[in-house]
Amino acid sequence: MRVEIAGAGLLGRLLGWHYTQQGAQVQLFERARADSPRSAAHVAAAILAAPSERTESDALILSLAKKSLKLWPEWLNELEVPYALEGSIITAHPNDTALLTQFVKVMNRRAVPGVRVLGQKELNSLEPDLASHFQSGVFLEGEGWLDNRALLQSLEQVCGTISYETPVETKDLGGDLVIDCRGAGSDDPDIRGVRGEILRLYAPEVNLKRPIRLLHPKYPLYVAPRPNHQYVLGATQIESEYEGKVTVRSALELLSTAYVISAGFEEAEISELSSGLRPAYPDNNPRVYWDDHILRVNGLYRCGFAIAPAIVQRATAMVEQRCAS
Amino acid sequence: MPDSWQVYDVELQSRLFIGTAQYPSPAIMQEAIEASGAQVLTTSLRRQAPNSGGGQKWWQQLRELNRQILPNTAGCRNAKEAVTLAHMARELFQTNWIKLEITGDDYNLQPNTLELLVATEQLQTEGFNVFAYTTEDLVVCKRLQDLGCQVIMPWGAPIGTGKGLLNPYALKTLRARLPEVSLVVDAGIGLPSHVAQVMELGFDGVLLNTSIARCDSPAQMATAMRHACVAGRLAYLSGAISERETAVASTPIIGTPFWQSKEN
Repeated sequence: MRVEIAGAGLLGRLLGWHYTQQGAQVQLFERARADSPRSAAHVAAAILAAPSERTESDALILSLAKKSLKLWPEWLNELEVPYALEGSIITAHPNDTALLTQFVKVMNRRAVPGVRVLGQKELNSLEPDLASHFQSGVFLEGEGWLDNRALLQSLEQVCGTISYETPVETKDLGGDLVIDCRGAGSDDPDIRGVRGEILRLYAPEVNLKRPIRLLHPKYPLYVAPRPNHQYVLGATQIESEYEGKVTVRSALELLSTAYVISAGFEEAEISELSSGLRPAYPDNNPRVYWDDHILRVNGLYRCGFAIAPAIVQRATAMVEQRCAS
Repeated sequence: MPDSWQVYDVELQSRLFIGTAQYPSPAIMQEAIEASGAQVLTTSLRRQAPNSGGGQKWWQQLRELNRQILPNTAGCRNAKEAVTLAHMARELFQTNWIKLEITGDDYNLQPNTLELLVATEQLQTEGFNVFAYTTEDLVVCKRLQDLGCQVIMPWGAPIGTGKGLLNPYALKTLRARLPEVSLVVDAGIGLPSHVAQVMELGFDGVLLNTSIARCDSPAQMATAMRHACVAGRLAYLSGAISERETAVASTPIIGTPFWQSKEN
């Protein structure tokens, strides 16, 4: 079988890997250069945090994330990608405890499991770095992070052949199966890009083990750990498809909030400032559908890594179904 | 009951203005806007890189809702920034309407009324229709009126707090002293009862965002806010009774058999 995939972001690579394992000949087409990726997956903080995102997202996302969480450990081990699922912590500055109360209220109303309120002592024992600024928090069981760039790199070896700097229209693609995974670069009229900006820090004085989400009335922020004291801080969320560099204002917001999370960030080195576009449909839920002979998979928005395995399963099941009929 | 009102050059039936930020998704926002019955939507553009046109898709979605768009200058910190943004907004949305919002304090987002007056003066001379977001300060509001501002938007409480009307006394004073101006309470609304209270005070309208966008069921809350707005307005028009300290029976007691009242 010959499979052609438009877009070599997370979904394109995972689907390419799947069909390569099935013995197919897979060709991916990517508009970006190999050394300057533009996919949302490259920029993302890759937090596996669908339960705590339930305050913002639909119940569908949580159910897709549950399915995905069963698949990720096996996939990530096979691909030798660093990850951890030791839970995550949501916290807020003492002046903003109302936000934490509201967060717990919404979690309870939406019956999200695995939510535990933490006092200062417990917070301190889980993440000592937070102790100086925070008195309370919420623990979300089963959440975690994965190393997105290690994953993309690892998938590159096994997902088929990627032609970089090759923007394509899906109508020009052939083969037995054509899949469109172009994210915000898609020509689907319902897709919009939502700008996100992150920064990466090397902070040898910081020892956070889990993703930390800071609730703040103006500058909500999360910090995702990576191996060797690297941290990803994100992310702004702006209804704009502007692809320019990170603005001073966004950088200031992210940096000043980082400073609040841990004093250890004071002397951290800024290794990168990046921006990207998350692809989203009007309901912010993903879609997998046949458009004539093209399988379109898009709209992973904020929880791409948390739900990608379930989306891949859905997509491949739809292909099997069509082949069988 | 028809109760339309004139806002600059536009006649409106609804007295609820709705913000477009913080919804879980654009689809949910659309449902909520429809449920609210609002005819005016306010949107910020400061962060969407209006120079580069990055927010085009978003703005297009708003235009397709076929409501009057009230662009705002949220995020601006001085008159100069706000004036520049107002010019961009006029071009983008083809409207002279501009909600001037200039932040003076980062934590409670209190409007900088000094800069607001400077920006209002300039934009009024350029033909803009200014909606001035301000505190409940009577002197500032009077000055805004003198500058030709026809819609003044005092805050109920700081943005997003949901505290309701922190200073009803000052708001009542504004209504009494500025009878010719359209007064719209903007910010601080948490509950439908707050909306009703604003309208009962004789305000012309209410602008809110967070209380709908961040609640559990935005469309349902939007419906509640719509009803509250109508309820409060009707109550105001009905000439409510005055409060008094002693009870006045609403049912005549003459002829009531003595055994019905012996426990009293």
